[in-house]
Amino acid sequence: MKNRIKHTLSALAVISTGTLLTACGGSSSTDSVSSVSVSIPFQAVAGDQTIKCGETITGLGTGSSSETGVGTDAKIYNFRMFVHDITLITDQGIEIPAVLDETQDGQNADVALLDFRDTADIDDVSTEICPQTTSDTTSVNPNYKDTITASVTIDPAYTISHVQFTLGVPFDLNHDDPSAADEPLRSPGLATGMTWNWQGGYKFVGFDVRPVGGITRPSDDTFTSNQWNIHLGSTGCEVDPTDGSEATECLAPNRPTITLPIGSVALDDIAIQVDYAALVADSNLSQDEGVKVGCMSFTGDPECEEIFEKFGLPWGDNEAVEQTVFSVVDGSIN
Amino acid sequence: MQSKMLASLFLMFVFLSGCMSESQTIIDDEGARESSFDWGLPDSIPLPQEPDDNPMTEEKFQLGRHLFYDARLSTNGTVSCSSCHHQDKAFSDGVDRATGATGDVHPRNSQTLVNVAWYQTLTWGNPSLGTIEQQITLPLFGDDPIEHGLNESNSEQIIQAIQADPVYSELFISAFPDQDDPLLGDLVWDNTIKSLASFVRGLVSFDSPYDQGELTDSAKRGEALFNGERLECFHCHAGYNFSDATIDRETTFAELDFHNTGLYNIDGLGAYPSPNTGRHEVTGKAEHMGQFRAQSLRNIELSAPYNHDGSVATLEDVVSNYARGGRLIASGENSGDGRVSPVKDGFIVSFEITDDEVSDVVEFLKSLTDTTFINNPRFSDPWTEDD
Repeated sequence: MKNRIKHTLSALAVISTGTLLTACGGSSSTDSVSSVSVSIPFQAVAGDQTIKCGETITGLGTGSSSETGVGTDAKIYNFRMFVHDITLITDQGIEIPAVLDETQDGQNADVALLDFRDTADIDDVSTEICPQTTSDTTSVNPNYKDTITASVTIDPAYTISHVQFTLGVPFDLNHDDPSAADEPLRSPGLATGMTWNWQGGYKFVGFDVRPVGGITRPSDDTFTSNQWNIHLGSTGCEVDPTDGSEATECLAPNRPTITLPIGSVALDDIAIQVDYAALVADSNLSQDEGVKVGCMSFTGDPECEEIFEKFGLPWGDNEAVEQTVFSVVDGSIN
Repeated sequence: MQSKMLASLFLMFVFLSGCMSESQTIIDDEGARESSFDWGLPDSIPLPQEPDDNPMTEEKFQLGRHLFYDARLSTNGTVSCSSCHHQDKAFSDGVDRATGATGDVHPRNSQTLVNVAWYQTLTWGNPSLGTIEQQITLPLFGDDPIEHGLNESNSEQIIQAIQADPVYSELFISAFPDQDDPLLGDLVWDNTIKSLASFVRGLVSFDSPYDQGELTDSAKRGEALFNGERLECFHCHAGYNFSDATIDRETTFAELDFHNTGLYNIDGLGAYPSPNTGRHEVTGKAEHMGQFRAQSLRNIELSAPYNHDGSVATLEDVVSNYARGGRLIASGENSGDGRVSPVKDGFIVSFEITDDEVSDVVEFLKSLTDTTFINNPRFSDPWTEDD
């Protein structure tokens, strides 16, 4: 047990090296408790394939249009998500909040926007894969962000056993004016394409793919679509009837809290993985049963049942089950 | 301790001085008629609420007017707000469903923009849209459907075109005098949206024959029918704006008002065709199926075709659907009898009505047409004035 604690401590020391070893609390605090800056990397994958713009991901979901004969092949169009309330949890269940470093791009003190669109293939406008984000003609997405920077204050007596975060934008920020909001919530700005004003608020998750071979609708021969969307967000947010001011609650908040065991991965090696293949494991990306193409979170959208289950969210009469999309992996292996 | 005392003294001072200035400037209406904008309203009409962070000014109204008529605010320079909102049709467009810049057909009918400032919620059936500022981001940036088609790839280039036009530099500076650089600065999009909202908020229509007390005999008979318990029109099309979803400076209590009028009943349970399920589309609640906001009837003559999806051609047809207690669609994929919808509003009851009476009701509705409004040069395209 003692070894484990030491190991954890040294892991934290390694994390802080080369990032921003801060000594908040500094000399007046005891040696045992200090605030350190940590980088929390995220990885977006689909099974053993890395999420990359412009590349075809093969064998997704339950369709059968793939060249491999199993699943659907698709190109990534959008792959962004908001996270907040990142917390380390000790083996005693003590929660240690990670305070977001508001000076970093793509995050403020309350929320971060992870953007996995690695490049914008802007020369090939016909495919519109991962849209261009600046008028600059380079093909690199300047807003790419796969790492969150935060500070944590850890008592060395503790062993960290879990990392936890909440998907989405905190309620207090979700219904403000996006055109004047602080980044990464501003639209036009980093949140362009992630606002969802007809429902009031932001898309917490925007995972949109273009299936090879398109999308058909069994009930409608004339239906055509090329993009299968996953838009997670709060729904049923009705305004104050006396003055039209923002909602004070939403019927379905749809902000899953994700708690991940670290397992045997050293704390300084952890990366949080989001697996698109796991998210769509029970979905047919070549087909849409109706309402909106893919799952856009609202009641009655036939594609949402499977997607909500994977996020660990309740859906209709289905109770929430354990999420299967996120996991902690050893980031030092890649 | 000392600082706490000072703080409370300071608060008391602020409070007191607030009271004093109130007693000086307001006589008996608690601010109900105070605005920095000339609303040009008859005395009988209460002023609308103005957002704290976007009070009305003439300068913002004028900037918004230029932006409203500017097709540069679209992905390919083809669509402005005025593409679907024509002044001569009370800012509706005369088609059942409009087409966006890139060919998407909107699922719903373009609404009139008439006295929008008094609406409790915006658009046909959305309980989560409470301000015009919020609503305006939808046609501009929405991707489902695409209307103006602004997005991450093109928004920078589009705003640069606006910023490069010398006409705008003066307009932005006068509209936002407190900002260092309202056109080139960080708030240019926010300023754009707030100004567009100010223009739409300022589209005021209270000068129809009805308002002037000049009803024909037929219109008078129609008015009596409209306000009678047989037809029940007035319950939902209530008050000075002919919509129960009306709020103003004097509103202290309101409920969210949406109604199912029995326009569809696809499945015997009251279903409306997807995606136009109204309030239900946002809340997912079964009891909200087919609930839409009661439209103001002002200038309704000019906004055909009718209902949220433009599926009813004439005002006579609208009245007939109500007389039937719900619309009957005999065949096709949307077939069903709205009269027996279990979720329709309690006021949608069938009633006997003669053809002459239908004409009278329609004549009354036409008395709400405000020709001053549709010809008002304040609301017209400012870019063509010098032609």
